[in-house]
Amino acid sequence: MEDLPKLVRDRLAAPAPSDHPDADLLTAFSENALGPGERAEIVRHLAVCSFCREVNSLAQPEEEKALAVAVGMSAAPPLALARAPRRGFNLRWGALGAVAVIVAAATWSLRPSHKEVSALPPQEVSSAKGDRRLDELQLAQAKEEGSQLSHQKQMAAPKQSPTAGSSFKIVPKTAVVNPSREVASSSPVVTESGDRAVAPPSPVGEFDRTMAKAQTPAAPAPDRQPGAAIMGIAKTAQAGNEAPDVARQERPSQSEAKDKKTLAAAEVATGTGAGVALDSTLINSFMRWTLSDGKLRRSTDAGVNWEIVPIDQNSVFRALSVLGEELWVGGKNGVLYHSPDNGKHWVHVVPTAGEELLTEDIVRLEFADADHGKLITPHSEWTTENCGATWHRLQR
Amino acid sequence: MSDAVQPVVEISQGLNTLVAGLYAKSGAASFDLSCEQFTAILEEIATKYQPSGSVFDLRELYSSLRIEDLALARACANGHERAWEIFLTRFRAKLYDIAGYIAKESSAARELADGIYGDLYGTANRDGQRVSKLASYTGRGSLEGWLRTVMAQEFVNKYRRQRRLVSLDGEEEDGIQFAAKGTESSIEIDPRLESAIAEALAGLEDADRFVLSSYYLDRRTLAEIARTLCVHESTISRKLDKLAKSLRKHILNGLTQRGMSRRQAEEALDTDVRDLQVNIRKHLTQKTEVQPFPKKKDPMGDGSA
Repeated sequence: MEDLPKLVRDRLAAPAPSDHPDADLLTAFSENALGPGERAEIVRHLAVCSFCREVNSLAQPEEEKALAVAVGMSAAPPLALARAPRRGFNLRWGALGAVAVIVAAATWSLRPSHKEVSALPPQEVSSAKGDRRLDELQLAQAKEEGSQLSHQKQMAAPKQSPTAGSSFKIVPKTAVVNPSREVASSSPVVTESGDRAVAPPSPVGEFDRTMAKAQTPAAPAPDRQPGAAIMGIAKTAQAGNEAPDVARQERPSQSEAKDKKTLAAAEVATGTGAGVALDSTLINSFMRWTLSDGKLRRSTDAGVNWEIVPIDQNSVFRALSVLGEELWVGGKNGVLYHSPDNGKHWVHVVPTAGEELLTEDIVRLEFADADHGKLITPHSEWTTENCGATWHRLQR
Repeated sequence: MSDAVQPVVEISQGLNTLVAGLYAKSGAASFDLSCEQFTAILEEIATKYQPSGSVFDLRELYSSLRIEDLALARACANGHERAWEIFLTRFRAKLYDIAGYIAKESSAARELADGIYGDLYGTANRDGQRVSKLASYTGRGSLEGWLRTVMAQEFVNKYRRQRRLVSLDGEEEDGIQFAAKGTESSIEIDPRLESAIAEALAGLEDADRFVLSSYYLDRRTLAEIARTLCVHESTISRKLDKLAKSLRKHILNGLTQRGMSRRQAEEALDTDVRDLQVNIRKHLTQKTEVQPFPKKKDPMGDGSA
């Protein structure tokens, strides 16, 4: 590291200012909860105030908790979330685990069927067998078609997940849909690909079940493309009595189910699909957005690496608003895009007030929630209260 | 202004709806905080951080607050028993953990935590009323983070206070009680060098100056600085290297613009007058070696002896 001359170091130590930001602002700064303006002010102060730098340093939480607090999690995050800083480590092991599970699943599927069914209570054996026959029928049909993907389906059709005790679990895409009591009480698993299946009774530990329940119970997004998911996120839907009905609804026809299964199997095989159930909140917490050289850039690893988001190659972006998964980006000549799903899909928004069309450069975007926001141009302000559907223009 | 301007009343109503929603979310009602009291707290926070903010700014501010922590803290400040029970359950052990992390020594940590606990409970009286430090919490960050910061502030304050009160025995042991007065102030640095450095430092961005100060003055690690700025430590490493080089280059350029040659500028920058002083002192205090035998004078005067 290049050293600074001693004289420069001495002059760098400016006299500390008398006014200091309060503990709330310093905390919010540490937790990355300030807006750009306030954050810049705090950095300006810290640059010249050794007292506040020392306070800020001492007030930093321990290494392991730092990132979890920074993304606004609770004081006592769940075990899986507390391990957030080791995401890369976990994902590497996760990928290795996924491969191991696929191999184990292939071995398992070749074993005699009575062992698989014996995991179910006696009264469910018949129905499970029936469903298994259905699966085997589909498999045979697929084999006849010579489909390579159907082979992958077979590979990825474990009846039991051997990942008990791990911080995430492999979701069996071709799980037995069993309308019995046990299945009804288990959580249906909804994946990014829109597939939905009920997890079979498995040796998955209580912790995994708790984690699965703790995950976002949001409705599935059927229009999401499987490839858009980051490392394949599986979400759990509302557990409980709806499970058998949901399962039935998700099996409209054998061919459709087969397509979904083969697609899911391909995703599991390639490691890019919705095979691994990770907390989407955790993934989102590593997302960072910024504007640089008129382009929108995204980092999926908390700012280590950045990539350009190809929304519109010809547009020059100058303003960005990030509020949870709601993203707004605008720029030259009034170009404005909105993404309601953390950048997976973008919608071109054309702000109009009456008959007036926005053509000025957007220099600032501010959204307080998903619906309410404003955009600022050099000469006007435009506000919306319905997520950009209609706009009101205010002269500045 | 266009005819499609949104009425102010409507916007205010939207804000009221937001406040009502936040009130419900905060659980303030379970701590016997009325909606009016809660609104007053939010208004107080808004006055502090957005004194001239628009309704939109207020909406943004309110939405960003740690509303549950805020309700709990203010209820504790009001002396609500159940709130205190919850607070102690959640934070009592953590207070001592945080103090241990900050003070790094058990007795000092206990003293620090007890002191803060007293402040939180409210030992100071104002107009006959107990004033809790929790009343100053505004929910901008998490309550746990705020407790950390408050304890860190108290610790640094205390440390700085104690540094002013040093024992004479300690000074004597260190050999500095009767140390001669420093003469650094009497040494004048080339004004061209002073101005070139000042100019180069003034041209730094705030974040760059923060990085330089943290690393070179506070001796923070790359990881610590990176964590503060939410970037990777390799970014800080690259930035530091680049900044140090750029700063040096700017100062050298400034010196050459002020009439120094390149070599003179480099010498002026690399030679610290205090180093010179130390060297002189070192040389002055160095004992002259006693020669066991006096040298013979050269009888020939040609150096051959």
